[in-house]
Amino acid sequence: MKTHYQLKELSYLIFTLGKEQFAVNVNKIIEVIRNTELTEVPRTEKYIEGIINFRGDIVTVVNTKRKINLADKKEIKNPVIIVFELQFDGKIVRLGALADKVKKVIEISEDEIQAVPDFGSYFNPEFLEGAINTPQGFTMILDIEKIFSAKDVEIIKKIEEKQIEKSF
Amino acid sequence: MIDSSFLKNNFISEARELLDKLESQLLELEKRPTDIDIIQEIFRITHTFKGSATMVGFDKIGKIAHHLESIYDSIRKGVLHASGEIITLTLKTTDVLSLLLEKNEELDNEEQSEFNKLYLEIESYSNSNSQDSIIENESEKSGLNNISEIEEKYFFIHFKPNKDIFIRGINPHYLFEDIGELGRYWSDPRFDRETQINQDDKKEFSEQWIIFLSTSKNREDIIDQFLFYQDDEYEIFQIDSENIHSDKEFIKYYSGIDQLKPDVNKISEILFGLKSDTTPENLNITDDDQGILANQIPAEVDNEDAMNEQVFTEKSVSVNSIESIRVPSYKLDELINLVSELVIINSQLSYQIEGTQSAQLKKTINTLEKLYKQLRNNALELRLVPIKKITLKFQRLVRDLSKKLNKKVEFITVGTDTELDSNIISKIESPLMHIIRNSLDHGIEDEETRINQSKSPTGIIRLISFYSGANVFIQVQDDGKGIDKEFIRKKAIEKGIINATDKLSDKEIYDIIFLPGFSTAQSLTDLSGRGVGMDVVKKNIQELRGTIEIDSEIGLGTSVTLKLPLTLSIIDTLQVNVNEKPYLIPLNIIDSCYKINHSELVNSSSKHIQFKDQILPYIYLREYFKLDGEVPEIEHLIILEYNEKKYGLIADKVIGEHQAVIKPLGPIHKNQEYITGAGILGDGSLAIILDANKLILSIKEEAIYE
Repeated sequence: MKTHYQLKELSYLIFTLGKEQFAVNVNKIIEVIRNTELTEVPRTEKYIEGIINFRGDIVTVVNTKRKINLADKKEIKNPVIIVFELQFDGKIVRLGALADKVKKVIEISEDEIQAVPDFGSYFNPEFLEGAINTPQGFTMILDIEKIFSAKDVEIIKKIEEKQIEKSF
Repeated sequence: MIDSSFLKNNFISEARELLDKLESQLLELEKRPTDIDIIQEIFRITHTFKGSATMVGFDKIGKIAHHLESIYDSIRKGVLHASGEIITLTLKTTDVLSLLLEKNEELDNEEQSEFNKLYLEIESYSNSNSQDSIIENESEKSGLNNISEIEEKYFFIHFKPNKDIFIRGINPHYLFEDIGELGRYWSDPRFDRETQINQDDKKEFSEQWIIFLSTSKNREDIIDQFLFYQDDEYEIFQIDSENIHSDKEFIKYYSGIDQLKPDVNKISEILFGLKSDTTPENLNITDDDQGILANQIPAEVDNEDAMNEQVFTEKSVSVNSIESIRVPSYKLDELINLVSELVIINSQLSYQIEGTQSAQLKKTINTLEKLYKQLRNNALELRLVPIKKITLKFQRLVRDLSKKLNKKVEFITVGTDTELDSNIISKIESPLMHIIRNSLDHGIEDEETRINQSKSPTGIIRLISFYSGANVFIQVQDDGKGIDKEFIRKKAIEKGIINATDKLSDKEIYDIIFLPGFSTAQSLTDLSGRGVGMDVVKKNIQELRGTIEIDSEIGLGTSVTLKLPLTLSIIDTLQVNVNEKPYLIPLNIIDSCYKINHSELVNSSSKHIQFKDQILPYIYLREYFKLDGEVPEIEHLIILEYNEKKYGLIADKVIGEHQAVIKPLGPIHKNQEYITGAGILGDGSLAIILDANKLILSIKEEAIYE
């Protein structure tokens, strides 16, 4: 019989961007894709890498390093795409994020998550949910919803308004 | 628990259907104002409407529907006559009801005052003409007092709805409201507990009630309340309260229900309770049927919420299962996506096995391919909606407008079963409205003129739809005065659109009507001349990748023909390459393609290029997309035509035609007005589909900029 209070077990996917190691909650991940052909979208935002055909739907792929303004922006040869399903304003949006390498999924309990240390912020600390110590080293947990919503929500809205205008 | 917004949404879609039905019945009633079947149907609709609206908390809607119900109750009882005035008022009311639905009952000031006006109007009808309408709060007491002064009769009612009651779309609980209109009652539900628990099929109903009623009304009035029920679903006995013991027939029947001799004393007590003004414990005043049920349900199931919830879910299930299943359109889209993807994967598979020796494998994959394609077609068909869905509104428009203009017009629809993508259906509604309005306003002559020209005094407007190839044609024909070509010509010259010396074909003259700023209406009427002209109609149709044409014969009439694609999700395109990457351009806007030397472009400094005898503005895709890479010596000039004007588009290479399924790009991209979406190519990869109309607009801008 367990008598002690059970802390929630959480699953995180560990991946790397350059030399840094990050974690992200698996709840919002649908799939990790390798070797997919990206189609470029001309004249769009700089951090948008292109679009892919994901199960018959178009999914936009974001260059994560550029999006979170990581110092190490070096592109690697065969990045993987982590496909997320996120909610913005009650709408479900699928987005892909480029990662250099996907390592593994770890299980941690809630109390292992620490507050974010002050990095002298070479990127926005708002993008972080917290940090954890793993056998693989110190790992920051990304708040993927915040990263993608930062100012794109406005763009989303603008485009939707336009679409409404169109459909008289 | 079911979320209340779920119930509301469910009601809203049910209500829309009911309103549509109501409207079409009203238009029928106008033609045959004494047809009792129509009146009964209208009454039934308003009755259902009221019940459902009140149940989900739409009070305003419920109140209006209540008055409508009273009015049509009076009509079916012959107290009121279905006059044109009442029909017009009811039609107006359906408009207000749909506005209330749309706005979730939150009206702005102007709408609220409109609402109040209308409400007073129907209220006065409903109150002045129906003596036995539901007792309103303020009139309740007096009503009840009256009852006790008049001679009271007592009835025993055994109410035993059949198991299929929900499948028939009836909520038996409303009966209590109706019974309550007659007088005071006491009710006791009998559950067949065994079947309640064991039943697998939730749609079955196994509740019964015994009801004692004290009323001044007659047996016939009670039977009237069972309008929706079959004869074997109720039994009514008039009983003598003073002398129940001697009423053998009643006692025998009652014993049959409970397998018990009735406790006559108890029954007397109940009946006297109904008569006296003091309220016994289990006497129910009849303003709230929910409360009654909650009180009377045995303790084991004494849970109002659970009860209501059960009733409501069952009801909504049954309503939906009658005619169709409502599915959110995104679910259909998802299904279509997945199926389309299967088709692509399968074609990749058949490509990969080309080298194989196994005939068996090839055969299997071929069969699969056929099945997948059929599956995709079936899935695509799910999105199609018959044009019937919007013609009712046109019927209404013609009715209202012809009255206003004092013209006699008959509206005939042909081929309303023709199906179109639901997106297209919703977008052609207002252009078609506009065209029909024009026919009525400018086409059909008034009665006198028609008689003078020995035409039938009633004008005819026809809406004809039919398939042809991958297109749907919708035609609006009228037998009015036709379009005076000379008049248009003169006006166009006056406005400087054409030169006096220009020789124009008939088609070219009619096309002038579609130009912005051209309006032939000599006087501004209420209907036209509001700044929305045929140019907007044309633009809207073009946005759907359709075309519009006018044909007319002076004195005989005009016909306007729309040609529309069956679906918006598939588009015929021309695939071009820029920097080895594929792009798709909608085929309907492309005039022709030519090879061109890069040097020609270098020499043209102002983004204009010599083409035959014209100088065309153009867009250089490589530059426009900010692409690097080697520039080929020979490039391709694609001539686009939009609004009778030509523009150029320059790409590296023309690959060929490709039928693409359009996928939206998603909201994250910026500055993407020139992109319609992306299409999936045969190998599963993506290509951007350019929105040629928007591209042309940016050509114009850039050309001006230069």
